[in-house]
Amino acid sequence: MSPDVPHPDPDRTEAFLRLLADHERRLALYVTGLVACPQDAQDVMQEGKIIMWRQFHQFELGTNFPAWARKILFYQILAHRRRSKRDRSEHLSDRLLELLSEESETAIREQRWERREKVLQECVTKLSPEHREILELRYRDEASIEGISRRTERTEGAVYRLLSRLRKNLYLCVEKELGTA
Amino acid sequence: MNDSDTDHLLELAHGYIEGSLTAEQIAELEVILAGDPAARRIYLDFLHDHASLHWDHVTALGDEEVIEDFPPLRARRFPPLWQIFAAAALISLLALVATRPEPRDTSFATMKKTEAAQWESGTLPTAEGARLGTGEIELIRGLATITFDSGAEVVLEAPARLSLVDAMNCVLERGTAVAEVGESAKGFTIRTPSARVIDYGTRFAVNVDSKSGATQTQVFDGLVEVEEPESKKRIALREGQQALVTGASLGGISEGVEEGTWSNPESPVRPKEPGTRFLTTADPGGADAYVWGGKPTTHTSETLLLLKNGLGNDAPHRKAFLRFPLDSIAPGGIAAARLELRFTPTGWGLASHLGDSEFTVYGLIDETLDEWDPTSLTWSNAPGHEPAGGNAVRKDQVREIGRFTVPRGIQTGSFGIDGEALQAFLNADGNRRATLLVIRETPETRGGGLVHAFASSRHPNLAPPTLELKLSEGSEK
Repeated sequence: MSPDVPHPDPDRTEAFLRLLADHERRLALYVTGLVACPQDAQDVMQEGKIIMWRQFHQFELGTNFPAWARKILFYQILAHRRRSKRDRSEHLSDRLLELLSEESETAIREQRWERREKVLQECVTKLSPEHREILELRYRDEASIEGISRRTERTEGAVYRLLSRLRKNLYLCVEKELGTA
Repeated sequence: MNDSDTDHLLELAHGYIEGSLTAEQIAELEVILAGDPAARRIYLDFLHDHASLHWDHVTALGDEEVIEDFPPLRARRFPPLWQIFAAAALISLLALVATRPEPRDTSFATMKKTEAAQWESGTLPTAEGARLGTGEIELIRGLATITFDSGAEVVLEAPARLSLVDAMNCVLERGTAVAEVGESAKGFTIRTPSARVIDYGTRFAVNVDSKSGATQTQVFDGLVEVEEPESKKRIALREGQQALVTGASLGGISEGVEEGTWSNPESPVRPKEPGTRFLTTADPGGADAYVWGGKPTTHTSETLLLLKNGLGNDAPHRKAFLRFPLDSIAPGGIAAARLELRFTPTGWGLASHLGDSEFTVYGLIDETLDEWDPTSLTWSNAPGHEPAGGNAVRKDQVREIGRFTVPRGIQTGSFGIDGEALQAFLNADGNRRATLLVIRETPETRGGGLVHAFASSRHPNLAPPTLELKLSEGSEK
C-alpha cells in the first residue's frame, strides 16, 4: 500500500500545476462530451479542479493523471446534476452517463478524438463564410439561438435548424475525411 | 445504424446540446443510446466535435473572414476561455504556495503549544501561536499541541511526523498523536499509512510504527472507527479498547493495557567526562534495581530502571533503588558530589498524560538496610519506601537529599542532583555503602501516562547511575 501522503511541498504543487496545464483542455472536452451544455461543463471543471487539488496527495506521480482526473470529474458531473434544479427528465440518466463515460475511455484509448480534432479544423474552413459566422457566434461569442437570430435576421427556428445542419455536416465531413463514413 | 437513424440521432443530440428536447425526446435518445454501442459512439463523437468547437472557439477562422454586415456580438476573447481558467488556476495555486509562510487565507489550525520541542524538515511554521495550513511537521523531541479550527486538538509526541490536510483531516506518517475531538469536530479523521481513524467526539491515541506503518489506536473516552482503506472494513472502538492495523489487515479489538507501547526506545550514548572520581552502581558492591506496585507487571526491563507514579492506588508505580560503594573514599573526603542518571524512553505510556515531572532523591539513613539484594528486591521488601501508598517513603529510614525535574515531553538526557545535601549524606555514611531512592513525585494527569526510565548498570550502551565526586586533598584511599 502506498503511503497516504498529502502534497505540501512545492515540488508536488508544481507537479500538479504542470499536469493540470497539460491535460486541462482534454479533460474539459471529456466533461463537455458528457454534459453537452458548455456552461455546465465549465462549472463541473471548476469544482473538479478544486477536488483534484484536494485529493492530489492520493495521486501517485508517474501514473495516468488524466485517467485519475476523469474519475473525479465523472463524479463531479453526477454531483452537479443532483445539485442543479433541473428535473430528472431533462437529461440522460446516470446509468447512461456511465455507458457514455466507458465509450469516452475507449475513444481516448484509441486516440480517436485527437485525429478528429485535426480534421474538424479542416472541415470548418470548408464552410461558407456565412456558415462559419453562425458557428463563431454560437461558439466564440456564446450567443443564444435568439441572439444569433437577431444578428443574422433569421427566425429562431431557422437558426436552430441551420445550426443542426452545420453540426451534422461537420460530423459527416470529419467522418468522411477519416475514411470511416 | 443506417443513414436516417444517424440523421435522427444527430438531430436529437443537437437538441440535447441546445436544451430544447422534450422529456419524450430525451427518453427516446436514452433508449437509442442505451441499446446500441454504435449509437453511443456516434453520439459521443458528435458531442466531442461540439466540445472542441466550444473550447477552441473555431480558431481556424481569422477575423478578416468575418462578414462586415454581421459583426461579432463582442470583441474576440483572447486567449480562449480554457486558457484563462488554466491561468487562473495556476495563479491561485501559485499564490497558495507563495504565501505558505503566512497562510492567512488557507490556514485552518494553530500551533497552540510546544514543549521542549525540536523540529526537523517540515514545511509549516513551528512557533507557538503560528497559524497552520496544509503541510507537514516533523517533531524529533518534545511535544506539540495543534488545535484545528474544527475544534479538534492533537498532541504530537516525538518522534513523529504529521501532515495537515484541512481542519478535519490530518495524516500521521509515523509516531504518536493523542487527539481530543469535541462535538464540533465529529468525523475528524487521522489517516495513517495503513488505516483511517475516524473520530466521533472522543479522546484517543494513534501510533504509527515508523518501520512497518502499522497503526495502533487506543480509545480513552467515547467512540472512534478504524477503517482499513483497502477493504473499507471498519471496526468501532469504544473506551478502553484498542486495535492494531497492519498492512491490509484489520486486527481485532482488544482491551487496552494501562500503558500501551507507543514508541521504540532510543539509546543515545553519552560519554563520561574524565577528570574527577566516578562511582557507579556497576562497581563491586554497587547495585541497582527498581520495584513496582499495582498493575500491570508485564512492562518490565532488565536494562532500565523504571519510574512511574500512576493515577490512583491500583495504577502502576515504580521506584528505583541505587547503591554506591564508598570503600575507596575516606569519610568526609567529598568536596562536591553529583548524581547523574541517563534517561531514555521506555515506549510505555503517553507523554501527553503527564506534565513536567518532578523526581525526589532520598538517601537511606538506616544503614542496617543497605545490604539489599537487587535480584530479590520487591515492592514489599524494598527499604525506605512505604508500600502502602504511591510515592510515600518511610521518613524514619530516609532523608530527602535533592529533587530534579524532567520537562514534559522529554524522555532522553542526563538528569540528576548535586549540592550540599548529597555531599553531606555521602560524607556521613558509616558503612561505606550509600543507598539512594529515586521516586517520581508527579502523578500522571490521566491513566496510561508515560513511564520514565534511566539506564541501569546492565544497560548495553548507556552509562549506569553515576556519582561524580570531587575529593578534598588526600581523601583518596
